[in-house]
Amino acid sequence: MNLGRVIGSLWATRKDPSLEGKRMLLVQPLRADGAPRGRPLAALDTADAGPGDRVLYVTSAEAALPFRPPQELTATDATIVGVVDSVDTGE
Amino acid sequence: MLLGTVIGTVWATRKDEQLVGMTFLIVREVDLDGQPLANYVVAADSVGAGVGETVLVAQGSSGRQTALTQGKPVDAVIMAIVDRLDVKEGTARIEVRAEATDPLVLPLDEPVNA
Repeated sequence: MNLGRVIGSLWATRKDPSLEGKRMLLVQPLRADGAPRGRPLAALDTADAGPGDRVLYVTSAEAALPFRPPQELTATDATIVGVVDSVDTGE
Repeated sequence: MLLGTVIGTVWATRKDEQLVGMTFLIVREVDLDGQPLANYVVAADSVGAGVGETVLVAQGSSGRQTALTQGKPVDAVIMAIVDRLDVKEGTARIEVRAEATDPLVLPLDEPVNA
């Protein structure tokens, strides 16, 4: 799982049927210390996250699991699964 | 998901029989300002995208998470055509094209903005 920050939203009318009614957000991946890491990506959202929120997101095939059941297939490779309250790295 | 622009079509007559009937498009990754990056991917199209459109691509085993690609030898699928993108902090805005247009005329082997 990865830490990121929600930096925006994205709309798509024409999409795979498995994405109907699902929110899509733009996420900037973060390092553990909170600094940006790499390029932003688009992700589905199951945690009701909003712009500015620090979030926990899963990638690859596991990104479809939050929707199963009921959906057997969900065309996503990144899904936000939590809004982060705090991170303690002990530093 | 990767954000990109469709820049072309791949035709292959001889291919795995499980791929028959699919359309394969070349998607070039773009940044949040719509500027092309050096990275590209060939993706099966599950939504009827056209050249010039901004799309999302699901990659890896997630590329098989559509009715079109389930169980098929595919590792990248176009699963959404982007209408609009709002980026907080004001700096980045992508120009989403409403209709298919001419392909970008940038060579793929030359890093533009990697």
